[in-house]
Amino acid sequence: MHPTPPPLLEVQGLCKTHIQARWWQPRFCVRALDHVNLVLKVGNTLALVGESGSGKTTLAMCIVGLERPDAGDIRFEGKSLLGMSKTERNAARRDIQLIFQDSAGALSPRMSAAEIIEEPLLIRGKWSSKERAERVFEAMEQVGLSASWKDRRPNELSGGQRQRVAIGRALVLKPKLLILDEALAGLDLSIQGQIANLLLDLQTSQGLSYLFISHNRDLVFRIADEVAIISDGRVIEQSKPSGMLTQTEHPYVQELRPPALREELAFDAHAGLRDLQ
Amino acid sequence: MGVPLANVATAEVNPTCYQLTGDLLRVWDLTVHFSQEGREFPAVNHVSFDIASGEIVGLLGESGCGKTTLGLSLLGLLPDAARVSCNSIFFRGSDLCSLDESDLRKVRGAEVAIVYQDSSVLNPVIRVGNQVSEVLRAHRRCTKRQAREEAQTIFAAIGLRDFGRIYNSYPHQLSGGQRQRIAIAQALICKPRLVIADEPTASVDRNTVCEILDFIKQMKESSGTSFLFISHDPATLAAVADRIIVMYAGQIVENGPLGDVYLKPSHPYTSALLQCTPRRIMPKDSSQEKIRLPYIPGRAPDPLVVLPGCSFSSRCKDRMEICDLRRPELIEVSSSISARCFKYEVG
Repeated sequence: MHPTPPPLLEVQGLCKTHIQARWWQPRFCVRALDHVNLVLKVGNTLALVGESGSGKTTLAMCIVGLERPDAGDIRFEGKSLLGMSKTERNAARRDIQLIFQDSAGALSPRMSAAEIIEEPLLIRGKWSSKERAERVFEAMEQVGLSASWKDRRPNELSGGQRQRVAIGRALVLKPKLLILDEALAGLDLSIQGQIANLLLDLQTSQGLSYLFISHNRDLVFRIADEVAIISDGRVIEQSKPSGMLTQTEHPYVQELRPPALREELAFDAHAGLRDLQ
Repeated sequence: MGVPLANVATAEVNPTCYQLTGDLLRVWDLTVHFSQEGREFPAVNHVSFDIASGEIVGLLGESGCGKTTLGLSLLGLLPDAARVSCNSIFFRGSDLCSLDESDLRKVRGAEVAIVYQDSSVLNPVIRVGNQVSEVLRAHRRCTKRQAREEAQTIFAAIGLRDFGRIYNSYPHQLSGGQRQRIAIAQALICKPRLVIADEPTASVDRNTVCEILDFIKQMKESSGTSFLFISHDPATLAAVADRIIVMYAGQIVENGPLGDVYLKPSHPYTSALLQCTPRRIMPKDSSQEKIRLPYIPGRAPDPLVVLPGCSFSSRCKDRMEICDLRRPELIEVSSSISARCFKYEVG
């Protein structure tokens, strides 16, 4: 018995090196992840912030099992995902779902919204068609898609609605952890808020945990419980957003701060004045 | 150059429209139609604006509002499927609408340059250095060596260090941010008078964004280059623009100086959009209730459906009866600001 329940997800010393071998060029190694440690508590949102090429997506791929790490361990609810038997792993994977940035590319253009949402149920088996229809309907309701949209194909949906379908597909298996890989990045500002609020509501009602991968710092600081900054495959810092702003020890974070904040300040100067008036 | 422009400004001007004061580019009543499933719809709908020398105009709008189409139409770069109808596009006294293709080619790149959002415009099998210097060599008489020296200056200015390696690289050997800067270098090497920058900072890291924005401002101050800076992000525009044009559903809904538009938005869409920007970082405790983000309910109208009234009315907070009956005109709110809203209609 643990005195406290284990964290939902624990990444320990994860390493992954991509080797590019092509006949026309010498072997080329990229250290995508270098002893990464992360902890995500149940019901929390952990944001992973980093520049492009810093290893964010590789980490997500390792957690869902699309990439095999070279070293280290990924623990889900206290159990190692890497040491599991195949059946155990399949069960665990049902609880971890991934949502991609580009909803247009992640959804099959030849399937209707309902078919897309239903597909994970078919793959994981053992539901009757009536049960499946019920769960699809439930998932569509959760993400705010009315039932009349079920026959629409992705090209007939707007960007925000497509992202809702992608979230619905992830939710239909009732997962515990959602990994959102830049899930809000391609959306218009006016829609981004809708989806972010939807995620917050789902977190409250379903007790979901999120690993929120993003380079949008403004957004992350508003919705995350904890922020981890990743650079060159290394997690530099994991702390509460408030702590990160007031005290930053690592030189990289300090280097990252002034120019990145400048735009915001320029905008804030205006916004602040508006509030005064 | 002033004479033909003065004629345009005084002849058959809609008195409710804002006064045209610029002197570099003057776009008058530009409409671009696309056709889909046999039906035509306007992607850009009766747009008029002007850009002064040394002015950075920010074109703000969400995806699908026609801002890229507008940028491309200024240089006649739209695909054949698009039907452009326009009164005039005066650039330094000559009408770009009436120029033939060979005259237009002299303007493109040399006088008016464009930076695309997607850095895949680079040719994958030509070294990027050659792609930058060939722009200069196409428009100006100079040796390869001179072109290379020019390229070196511009590379240094936009923060591309390690000149020798980058100049001789192929696009795939560079990072996304570096490629985007190459595209910017390509546009700026001829020192054009006007640069149409279509989301030049959309795909680069924020540190790079700041460097690029700094360089754009520097360019404006040192050589008086004007920019039409197209973006969907109000915060980016706040850092560079002098004036903001807000587009919604193919129309300009607000046009005014940056400070006025951001401090006191005249059009309900502008104020709603500015509210949606994740503003000041608000560090939150996990104990607290999570902050809900603001958003605009509903979605942009289907371009194929012709609405009798204002295109924003269904999402608008200040909706009135008249909004669904007829379309609002661009109305002068004050001497420098105009907005397309019935709130400002007198009587």
